[in-house]
Amino acid sequence: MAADPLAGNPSAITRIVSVLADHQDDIRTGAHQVASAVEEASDWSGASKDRFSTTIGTLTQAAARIIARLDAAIDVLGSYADDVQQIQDEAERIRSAQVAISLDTVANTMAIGSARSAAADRGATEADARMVGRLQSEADDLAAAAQRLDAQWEALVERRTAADRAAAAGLSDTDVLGVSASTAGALAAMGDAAFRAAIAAMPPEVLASQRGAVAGRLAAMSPQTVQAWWDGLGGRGTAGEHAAAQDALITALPAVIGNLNGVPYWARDQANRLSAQRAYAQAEDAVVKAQLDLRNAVGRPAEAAAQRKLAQAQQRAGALENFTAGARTPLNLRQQMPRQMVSFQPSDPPLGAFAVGDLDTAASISYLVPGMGSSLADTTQYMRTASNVQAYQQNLGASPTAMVTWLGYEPPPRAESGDLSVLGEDHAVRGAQNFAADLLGLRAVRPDVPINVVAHSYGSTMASVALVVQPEIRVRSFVTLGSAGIPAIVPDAAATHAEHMYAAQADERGNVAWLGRTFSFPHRADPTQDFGATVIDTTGAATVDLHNLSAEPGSGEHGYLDVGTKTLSATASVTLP
Amino acid sequence: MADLSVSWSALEAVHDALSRAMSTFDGARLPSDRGAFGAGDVEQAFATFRTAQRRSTAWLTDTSRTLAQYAKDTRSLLERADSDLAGKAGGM
Repeated sequence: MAADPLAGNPSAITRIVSVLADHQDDIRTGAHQVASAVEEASDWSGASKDRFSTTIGTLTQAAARIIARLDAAIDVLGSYADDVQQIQDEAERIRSAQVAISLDTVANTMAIGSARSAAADRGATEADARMVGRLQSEADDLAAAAQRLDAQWEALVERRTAADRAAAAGLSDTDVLGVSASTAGALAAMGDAAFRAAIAAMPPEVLASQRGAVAGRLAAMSPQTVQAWWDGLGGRGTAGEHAAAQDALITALPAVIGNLNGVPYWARDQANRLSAQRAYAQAEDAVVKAQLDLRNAVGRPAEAAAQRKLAQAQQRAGALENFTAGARTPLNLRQQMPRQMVSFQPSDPPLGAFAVGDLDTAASISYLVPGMGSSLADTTQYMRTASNVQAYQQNLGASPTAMVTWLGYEPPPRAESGDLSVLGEDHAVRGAQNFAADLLGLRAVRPDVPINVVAHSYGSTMASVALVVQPEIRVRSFVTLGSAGIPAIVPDAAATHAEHMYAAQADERGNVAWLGRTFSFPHRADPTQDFGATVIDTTGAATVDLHNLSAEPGSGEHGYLDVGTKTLSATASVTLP
Repeated sequence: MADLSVSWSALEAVHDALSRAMSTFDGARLPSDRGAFGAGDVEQAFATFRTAQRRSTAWLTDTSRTLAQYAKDTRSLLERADSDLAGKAGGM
């Protein structure tokens, strides 16, 4: 379609330029505030400061690049506004001239008609004939002028087309976008190698701007492919020392990198902490909004609905607060160990896993898989319970296993809620897909490390399904504590492909696990009864008498992983590196 | 290990400066074209540029927030470690 020289509003384009300049000023102000933070940090040194300095360095550089891109865009749009203004001025001149010529032509046509009548009259003179000739000559001149104006208009259409093309090209330039438009548009169609090379070269803020095209593509790669690609960016790296391209990926695509199997766990940890912090901040904002909505709600139904939304928002914020607190919650260890946020999904409900130990280097890795009713709101409690296993190993003088508190599936709610889905297998089947994927991801980057699974209650139901369908996970010890039953798809211990299976079943107050197994449908087996698992004694000086993994301190009761129980010592023994 | 030197007030000042930066980045507004160009290809290119800018600025916001939180967490951990050490020293 031909361009319209009169289309658009140069004043409005100039206003856009002005707002972009304001935006640029804001970025500049923010960059100065970041620089002042750097100055304030001069009294701070150490490993934590080094990590801080690395990231804040990328921030100031990115701000400078964004300011430069805005400069380029402002230049493009400023020139475009001038061009459009000139073209419109010229267009109006041509249109005015065309109108004048049209009027003159009408007048001339009428005059010619009159002159011809006069010239045809009997009393016509030579002057009448000359008048016809003169008017005809004027008509020719008017036609020629009209043609010239048409040609000028056509030229102006061309000029406007060229101005539009130049503006569009300018706004699509690498100087403006930070990446060539052809690269950005072709990311989805690139071959794997070209795609990986393209994103490795992008600075973080550009990667963030392209995340829609990048995220799904990366997530679909095999762990082996991801591992090779990541290592090609500058080696495996460590939390303290790694390549700038790796840092860019972590900060720009935390939700992707944090859960990307094949990426080292130090990088996943950093990415997931970013994601979880953001999710927590958003959840807090949602609570504030829900409180405001409740205050503004009019009428009982609206108040009730607002109250429900507030409760949901508070529940989510509470879960995320507890999960992020896993980084600093006190544990029961004799010697402290590093912690890693292994995975995080800001879904509803949010899911994640937190490790105590370094999964990139640990001599053995054990997963604690909780059962019904568990959520990220319980993260710190489960981490403390898991640390009992590690503390026991430390007391033996051994280097402890890394313990992953795995809350990566949505378990059934507690039966007391009235929801009896704990008796079915749906949650187990869905959760097993997540669990198997995470274990396979670990196996891809740590092919020889011993992996153990310590599963409680419905967690054992879910974990057994994961282990039976994915034999390549190769678990060393599979421990079930108060199992809610093993589905029929897992006929015996050997079917789990674990080197050893252990099972403990206490005489629990309320017979919680027994009820879960007895009323399960389809029926699920008790792994302590003729299943091929080594049965762990639950009695002794500290007899397990609760279904929980840990009892309230001072209650006199004992959960499966409480200090003093044989289930704790046995679990610690079979998960030793 | 790097030399360790930590100042409570420095971490507080770092947190405050980065929180201000976060608010500044977050408040930075981008214009809409609202038909100003009168040309489809320019509108399309501007929309792409605007989206890229918005996401890049959001990255600045997120990263500032993360660093501010990092400074705050470091300060909290420092306080807790100090209390723990004081507790242990008391039991000597």
